[in-house]
Amino acid sequence: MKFTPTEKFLSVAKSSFKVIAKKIYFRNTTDLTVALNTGTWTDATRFVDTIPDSASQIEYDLGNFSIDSISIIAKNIVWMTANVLNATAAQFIECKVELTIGFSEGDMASDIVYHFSGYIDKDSILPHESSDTVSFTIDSADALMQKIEGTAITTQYYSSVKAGIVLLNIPGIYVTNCNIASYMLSAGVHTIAYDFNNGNPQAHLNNGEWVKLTGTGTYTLGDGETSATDRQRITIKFDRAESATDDETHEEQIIIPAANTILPRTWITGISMAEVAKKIYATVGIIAPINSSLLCNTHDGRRELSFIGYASDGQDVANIGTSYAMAYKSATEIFVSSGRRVSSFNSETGVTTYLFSVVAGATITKMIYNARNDHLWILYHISTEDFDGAMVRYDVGTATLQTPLSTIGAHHYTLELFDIAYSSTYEYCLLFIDYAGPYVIRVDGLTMAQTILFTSAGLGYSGGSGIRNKFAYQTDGIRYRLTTFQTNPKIHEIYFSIALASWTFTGIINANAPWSPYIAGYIPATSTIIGFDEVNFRVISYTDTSSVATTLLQLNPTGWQDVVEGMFSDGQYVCFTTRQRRFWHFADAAGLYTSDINLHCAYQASTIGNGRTYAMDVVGRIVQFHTVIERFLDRCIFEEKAKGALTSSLRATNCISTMSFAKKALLYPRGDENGNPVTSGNIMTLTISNINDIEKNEAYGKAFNVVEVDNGKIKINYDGTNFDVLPTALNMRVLTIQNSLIPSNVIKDYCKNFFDYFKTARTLYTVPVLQTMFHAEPMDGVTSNFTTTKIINSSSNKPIYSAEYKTDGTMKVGVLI
Amino acid sequence: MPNVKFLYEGIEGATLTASGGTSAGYNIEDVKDRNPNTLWVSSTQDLTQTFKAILPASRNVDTIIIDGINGSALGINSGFTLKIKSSPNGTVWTDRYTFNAAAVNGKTRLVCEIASANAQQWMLEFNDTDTSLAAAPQIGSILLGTRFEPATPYDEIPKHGEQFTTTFSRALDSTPYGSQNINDGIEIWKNIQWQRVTGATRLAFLTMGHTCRGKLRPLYFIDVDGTSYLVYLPDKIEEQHVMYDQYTISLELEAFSPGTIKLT
Repeated sequence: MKFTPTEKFLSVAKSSFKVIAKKIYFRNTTDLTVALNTGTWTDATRFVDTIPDSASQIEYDLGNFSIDSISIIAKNIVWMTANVLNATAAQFIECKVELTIGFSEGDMASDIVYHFSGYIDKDSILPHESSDTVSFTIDSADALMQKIEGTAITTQYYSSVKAGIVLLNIPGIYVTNCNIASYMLSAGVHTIAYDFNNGNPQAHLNNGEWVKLTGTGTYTLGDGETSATDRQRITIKFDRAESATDDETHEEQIIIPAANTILPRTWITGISMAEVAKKIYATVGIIAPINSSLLCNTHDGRRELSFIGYASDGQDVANIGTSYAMAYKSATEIFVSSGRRVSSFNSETGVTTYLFSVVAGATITKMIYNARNDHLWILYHISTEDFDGAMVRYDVGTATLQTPLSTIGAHHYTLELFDIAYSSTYEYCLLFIDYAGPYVIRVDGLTMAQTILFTSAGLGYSGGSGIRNKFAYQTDGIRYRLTTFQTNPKIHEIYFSIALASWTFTGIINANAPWSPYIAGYIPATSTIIGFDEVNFRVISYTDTSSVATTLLQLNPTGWQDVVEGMFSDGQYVCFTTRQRRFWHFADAAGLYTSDINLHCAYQASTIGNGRTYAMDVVGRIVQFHTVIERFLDRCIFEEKAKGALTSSLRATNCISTMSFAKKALLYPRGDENGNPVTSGNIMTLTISNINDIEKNEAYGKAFNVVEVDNGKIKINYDGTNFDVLPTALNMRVLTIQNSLIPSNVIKDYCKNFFDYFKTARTLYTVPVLQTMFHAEPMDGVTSNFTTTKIINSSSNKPIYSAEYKTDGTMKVGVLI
Repeated sequence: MPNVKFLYEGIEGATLTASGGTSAGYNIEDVKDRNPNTLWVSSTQDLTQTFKAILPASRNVDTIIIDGINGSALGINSGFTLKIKSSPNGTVWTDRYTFNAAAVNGKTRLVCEIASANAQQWMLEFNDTDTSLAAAPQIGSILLGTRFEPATPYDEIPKHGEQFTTTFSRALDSTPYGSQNINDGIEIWKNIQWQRVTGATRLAFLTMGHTCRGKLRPLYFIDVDGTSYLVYLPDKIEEQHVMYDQYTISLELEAFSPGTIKLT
């Protein structure tokens, strides 16, 4: 609904006779986001005799909406030139047409209908001397979007550790400078390539000379066949330990938006449909598209990964740091970290809101939330030391950051929070291993006082070196287990004794554990530990009473080791990525599963809640692991215009969208889980008393028997029962969707979602409406009751697919039934 | 000359006097009712005689429209000049406009556009030549117009007929819908004053008329105590650009109860 109409508006809209007033305004602006009801406008109504109708359409072809531009002839060249057509080169000339209705000129409804808004196409301005008129076209936001380069929809994945731009497609290379004196990169798109080259890695810029990357360090790439012929250069950092060792040549494009850019932008990889729509609409000044739920079930009920948002509240590099930590608060709120910044991420809206920062130079490594006390605990390190040296509590309810504990020797993989109810009180504390002691340390949850809970001797070790800063975990809510001593791995346990009201050493529960990992996760239901063996470069699985481990994943053990840098358990699976290949792996006692999706080293950044697992990679991309996936896109290489980018995105995700002239955008899935068209829920009722015709177009949406989806890497089809069918029957209609934006890990799910909608034939009914229901817009619903017509009788809540608003107060809507 | 617009008002509040008196069977107050079929007729056709309208308050008047009788070959009067005079005090009278004999003879409407003045009294002087008139003067109704001169930069307004369009459609069950566009408040019709009918129940045919300037709508809606009636104009009128003509719209309202008629 364009706006919520007043009773007066509705009364006039439905009346037998009404007067309609239109005003046309213009203003010069450089900020397209300024709302239509603010700012200074010039009224040019008296110089414009005829204001055209306006129209919008959800799909004039698949996934491609249209919002019509208008053409105007204005009188009085001198006045128009002096007062309207006087923008500087950098300014847009924005236009709005307001429409009001009333019973008479002195009895108008207060509602303002934005009949049209847009921007004058300066190249179209054409004065006519003899008639003293000037004609021009006013581009709708849709038309303007068709003129904006897709390179405007890019991002910066930033590593605060490397101080460079991450290239998700080239592990181990970070771009640190594109503005080298005399060799600056020109505005536009450039390509960096990397080749392992049988152990002699090399990289080049724009097919320039290969530069050998002989070890971790800083290198300069140029675009010349030799260094002497370079015209452009960049500086990169190379981290050999992260780099790819496969035989493929890895390429990544970087985008320079303007000359003298130091840190480039890159194409977005892994982004929700809602978020990419937000970025695209922002290019034409629409800052908050309204979208309904864009969730989609996996076709087989499996859990799958989808991108749902960002840990940073902005794309400014200054606000982006390495993202390690997240903590679940509620069904809609997750705390996420980016460098030293903590934000609140709304998992329903995808909006990230900055909350606070810890000290400068810090990187947050773990966060734990306690709901009973509404406390968020933040562990962070402030140096390059091998432990996380500080911890602080943030009291969420009062938004108070307590004084940090700055000298603790905790490692993030040993920190656990306990909140144990007993005897009308609670044991509310955090435990961690301080290897400097070595000790098990207790931090009181309320006073934040640190005490030594156990020494090595207290845990049955004869010497002081027994306790190790290795993986520790909790179970049963009261037990804290330590995996210690690599040369003779054991698992020790302490527990909180309610009878004694104190922590007690249980004993050694596994005196012959197969490994003692740093990086691991625990699955309580099966008492399974899945961890990374950093000596043999493998991921192993064993129970906490077993002496034998099973190898789940063997990584490259040669000199270019791939490693696991973070693992976490969501209670069902232990999830992890590897530093080089970056697939999403998840494992349980039954084995290892892999999802073909690129995550840049998810660390312990994980939390579970609301039936879903959330995780985050180091560049701050938040993902959801669930049987319901958020519709998202893979690598968004938008080499077309912004409108083309939006259309491609909509086509990839089976979504539809439209804009209204009130600077508003709508985004919906094409169908619900059953394939039924969705609406906004705002209903316009049509009867034979307010329409004067019905046109029926059955050819608009004929049913398909098979849907085939091809992302360039995988081609799959579906006939409602089976995947990979051979459509051979006569007259079988096959819908083919080729779109590289479709992620491989959900291509079957998308395919089924497409099929569920397109399996049903739908008819477009075009209905002239005589009432001025201008508050209705595409995606609103129509409930019709055409009792005496020959074409159709009635329908309920069917979507408006097109709307034409006429200046005589009537409209024509297309309804998909 | 820039295009201008006129807003017409009646003289309902005026005090009317006629030096020649009123012929039996006619009522001088009928001049106020905007209906040219009800009229005032002088009791004599002799000599120079005057018709005075004393307005209740000062106001600008740029146009005076004098309607004769529809269908009457006599028009307003016959054969002699007609002067329009104004006075701020009823003592000193100033000539504002003079129609010569040819302009008056047989005409059913006289329109004079005059310079602005804040006169409170207006006088029509029939025949200033001390010669008997060919017929007794008669007037159907008088309207006063106020002319608005656009101000800078408001130096151009749409021409008549361009300012609005009127549309009409019927739904599938014949429910009528009509609309009229207005731009920037420029709407010639807004000051057309239709006769408000209140009082006793009228059982018979009721006729109303008005003077207008501009393009007529093809239809009107008459709201009678919340019930809407659709009234069409004759086809030939629909597309005309009327400047000074007068039209009558007839309403057949049976068992019309006391209340208000509202034109929309």
